[in-house]
Amino acid sequence: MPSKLSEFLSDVSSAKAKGDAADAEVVSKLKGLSPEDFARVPRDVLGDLSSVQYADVVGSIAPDVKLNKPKVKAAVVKRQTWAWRDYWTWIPLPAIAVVASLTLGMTILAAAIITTPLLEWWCYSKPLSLPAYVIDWPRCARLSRWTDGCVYSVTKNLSWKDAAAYLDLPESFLRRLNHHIADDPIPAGATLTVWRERFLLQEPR
Amino acid sequence: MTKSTLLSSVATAPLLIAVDGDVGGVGKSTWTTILAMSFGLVDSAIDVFELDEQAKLARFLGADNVTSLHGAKLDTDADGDRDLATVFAPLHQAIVEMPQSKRSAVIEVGGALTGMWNTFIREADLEEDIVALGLPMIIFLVLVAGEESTRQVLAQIRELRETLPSAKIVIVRNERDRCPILDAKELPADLRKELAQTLKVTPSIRMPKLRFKSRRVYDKLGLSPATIISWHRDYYAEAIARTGKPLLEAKRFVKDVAAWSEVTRVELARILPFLEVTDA
Repeated sequence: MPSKLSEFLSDVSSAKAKGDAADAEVVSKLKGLSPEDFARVPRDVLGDLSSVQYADVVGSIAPDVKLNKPKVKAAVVKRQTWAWRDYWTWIPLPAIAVVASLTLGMTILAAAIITTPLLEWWCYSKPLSLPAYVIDWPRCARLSRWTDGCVYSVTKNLSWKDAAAYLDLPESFLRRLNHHIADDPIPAGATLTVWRERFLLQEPR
Repeated sequence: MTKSTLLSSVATAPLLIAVDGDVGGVGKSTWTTILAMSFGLVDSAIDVFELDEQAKLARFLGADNVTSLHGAKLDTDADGDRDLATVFAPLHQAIVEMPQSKRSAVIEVGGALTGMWNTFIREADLEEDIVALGLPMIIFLVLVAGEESTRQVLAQIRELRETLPSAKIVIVRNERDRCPILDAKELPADLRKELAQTLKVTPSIRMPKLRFKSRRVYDKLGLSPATIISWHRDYYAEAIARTGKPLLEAKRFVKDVAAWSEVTRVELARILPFLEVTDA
């Protein structure tokens, strides 16, 4: 063995042993501190300790304190996360944007298709009620397929056929409902009752 | 991912060594210091050249032991034509005399001077010289964690495979801040793939991390690790005087340098087996 190398290795060995002894001395001194004194130890002194040495010191000063053990499996989880990120970076950005837009659009469309009948059901299934006497009913603003539970004042002559068409009701049903109007066409000034038999009528007081 | 390969063709001195990495502050001088120390420990003569105006190596190894090539001063020449032959003349002379002198040579290429070094390799046709002289050549490329260093090292490998095909390239993974391989996951995908492929076919060794506190003192002192380690002999009197630290901290500093330099030396000996302990 070359002499210089031999001497160097001997120096390394001695220096490491003496350094380890110095480390042990520091740890020993820290272990002898009270919790109050330990709290005053400068941060850089504690920063020099390895996690094992730190746990040893804390365990000696405050045996009740349980330090968390390092999570060995953390690296595996990180690796998995990285694989997904890697996958995403591999897909071109425009393709991601197109897929995201299509997915969002389809979701909104599906939500609209599903919610429309639900909303309709919710609106019409309400136990709405109307006064028992038609005279107390509100005025209809116009005749349309959505008009219901109101009284319409005819402003000019209107044929039964056209009125039924506006309201999307059978003409016979409309005529029966408004049997008080005998004329054809419906004369101006007549009051046309519109009721699709969906509301409850209040009991007369 | 990494590969440890003994380079049988460079199992004996003398040999020509280059330490490069292009980016400044990646640990080239530190590596060259360990290299020079390791040669010294087995009484293998080595000439140290520094292509850098910082004279960092001269600080660690002593000005008398380092030949500065003052490469950075070239840009100030008025004629515009850079006469690289003049700058690299001392190195070139050492290379030519190597078969007779039996002295190895190492050149540390300073940060951002890789371009000049590459130009010299091409203009002087270094490949032809080392083949004609039968000189083994090793190029250590120091890599630290990060995109810039990785790009520079990979680019230099591509360049060297073209200009110096007979040279052996070894990647030195400096773990000073973080491990360059573990940290590779933060690199862009193309760079990460190229690094992984390069590490499969290129030998690489690690330069372990020196505890931050101790590294700061080590850089400030500018001394050879062997000198620092020897301080334990006089009960750390020299260590206390030079570092200004109390006994306990001085002991820990010397211990850190001892452990770190020994691991680094052993890693180096994996590539250059003649630096390892042998039974006389």
